[in-house]
Amino acid sequence: MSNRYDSRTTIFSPEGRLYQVEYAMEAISHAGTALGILAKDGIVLAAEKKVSSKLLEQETSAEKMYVLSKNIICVVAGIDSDASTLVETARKMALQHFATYDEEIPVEVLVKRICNVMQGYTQFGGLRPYGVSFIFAGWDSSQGFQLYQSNPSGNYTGWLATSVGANTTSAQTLLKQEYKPDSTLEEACDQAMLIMSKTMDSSALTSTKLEFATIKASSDGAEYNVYKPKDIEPLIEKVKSTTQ
Amino acid sequence: MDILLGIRTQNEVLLITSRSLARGISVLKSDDVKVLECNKHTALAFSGEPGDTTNFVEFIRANVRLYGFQNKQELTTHAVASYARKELATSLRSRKPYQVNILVAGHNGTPELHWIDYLGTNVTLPYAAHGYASYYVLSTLDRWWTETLTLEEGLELARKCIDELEKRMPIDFKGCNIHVVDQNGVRLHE
Amino acid sequence: MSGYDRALSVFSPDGHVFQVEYALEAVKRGTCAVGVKGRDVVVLGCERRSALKLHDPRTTPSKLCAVDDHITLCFAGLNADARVLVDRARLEAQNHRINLADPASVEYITKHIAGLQQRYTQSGGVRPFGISTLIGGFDPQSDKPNLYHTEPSGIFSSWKANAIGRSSKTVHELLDKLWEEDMDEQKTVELAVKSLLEVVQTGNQNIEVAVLRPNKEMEVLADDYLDEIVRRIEDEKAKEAEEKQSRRRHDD
Repeated sequence: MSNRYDSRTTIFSPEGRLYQVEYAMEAISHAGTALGILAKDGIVLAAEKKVSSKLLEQETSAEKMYVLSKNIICVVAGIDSDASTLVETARKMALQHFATYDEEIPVEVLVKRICNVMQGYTQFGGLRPYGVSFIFAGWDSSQGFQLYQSNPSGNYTGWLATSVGANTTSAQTLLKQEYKPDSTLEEACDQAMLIMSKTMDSSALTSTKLEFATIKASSDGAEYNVYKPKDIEPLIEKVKSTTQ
Repeated sequence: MDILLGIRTQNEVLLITSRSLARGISVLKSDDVKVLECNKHTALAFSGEPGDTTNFVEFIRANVRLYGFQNKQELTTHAVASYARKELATSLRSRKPYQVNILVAGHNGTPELHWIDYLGTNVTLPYAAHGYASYYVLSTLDRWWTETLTLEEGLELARKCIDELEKRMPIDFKGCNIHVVDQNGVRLHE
Repeated sequence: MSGYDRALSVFSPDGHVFQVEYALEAVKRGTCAVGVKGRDVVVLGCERRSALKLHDPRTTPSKLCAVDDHITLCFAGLNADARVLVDRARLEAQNHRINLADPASVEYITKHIAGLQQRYTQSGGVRPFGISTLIGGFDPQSDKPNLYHTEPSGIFSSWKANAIGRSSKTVHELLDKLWEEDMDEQKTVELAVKSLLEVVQTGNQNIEVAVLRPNKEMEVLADDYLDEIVRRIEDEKAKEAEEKQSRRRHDD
């Protein structure tokens, strides 16, 4: 029965569901795990990279972490090419806002605008919804640090800590256990690494399989840092030493 | 010949605007208000080609309000000024540009005054004036303005400027409205 | 069936437009929202989206949306659809101010929203909006309360009190029983909260309520004030249940 509502454009099924959107979410649930934790002085994002080959260049191929503007970064889970086009749109939106108002785009404003684009693909444009979920981390002067997660339906919600991708249920459980409302960014980084180590499919945690980024307070608002593999190593060592 | 004057004091911004609305050789109105509340903490004072002015400031206000409703946070005064400037700069390069000069006064924690002309110049100033009035009052403001003016001192300085204008301007501008923009918003000073 | 529900929105031989009916199902799957008119007040309330432990209540979008200073909307159904529709209503509200120099009436905005919803049931390559809305507010310089309801089909209607979304039928029945003319603000708020509590588990933290008054911006009730009302209603309910039981014991 269900396969009658899952071809062509996104339309309602008799139960009022949008199968195309649900399938897109299904696609995301196979992607590498990604998570975000909101600390009081910053936000950490971490993601599992599915390395296909040893020959893949590590230094130059960041796959999942994107800088959208001076004050906003994100991590994606899902179809990478879909993500790329949305990231490009997002960057344009952020710059357009800066050009018009001479102020960085507030985090929720950008999140909402990207999600509006995604919503459009579930109602009128194109043949299928976008197959990506984003976790956005950002800072603005009115709301401070903020963590959002979006999904293909165009919904978004604000989180203290969240995850998407393959092992999201176990990651979510661990986040619930580990999350402390007043932790510092440093503590949050350790938590993130610990949870990644417990949820990733591969047994050994290596910097080739991880992406890591933070955004933290700076003198003129916020500054982001997308980690290079060599910067990730010390964090891995730290987790290994504490868990042993 | 419209008078448009802004004075930033320690905790507020004063907007002084003439009350006459003249067309050609006739005064059409002597209780005109040339100030528009843009959002809760930002006001626009405007002069220029009649019609263009109302059209332009109402357009700016509508978009600023729309931004506020759609994004659940109001634009700052700085953002409003940048946006208005951008619209004027775009318009300047169109077939029929807006002939509008504005002052943007606001209070986001601190008082803020922007001077923007029809060419798309946007400057943040402690005190500012548009049009002929500037020739008469800028010297007065240069002499008396200080960083620490209280509201009363600011009003007194405004009075000085208006006196000077009444003495020197060749037209009867029917007195002035003084609007105060402070942390509580925009209000007409009686 | 047999294909008439596959093309986006066409009539089936027996006169149904299936996509629109299915959109209504999406509404029924949405969280519940209620609207109640009082003497000089309109109260809108809704279920807060699943308040999970790790949700950030500060940044999670609310389902109570101000369209203009004097008009507020709440919805049931697909959140993303609602966001887009509400933004278009907000644009229209400001357009109205520019073109007519006056704020739009509640009815005008309702008609506009319903019109948009209708258009998406009759155009090519689109699906209908999966939301119903309740629109409340006061026309400028008027203290007559307004409450409207719109559906995915584009139908709109005016109500004294109404509910949409999950279990809206139960809530509607309760409102039917308890609504009366001339309620003051407190009574109206209490009725709205009481009806929401019919469908929301563990009350207080999971609802949000907005009070709309003439010539004022909407007020979203503070959590502790809401808690107080919820507690009062729950106490009342408990007492009633107890009385019923003791009466029964008495009868025995």
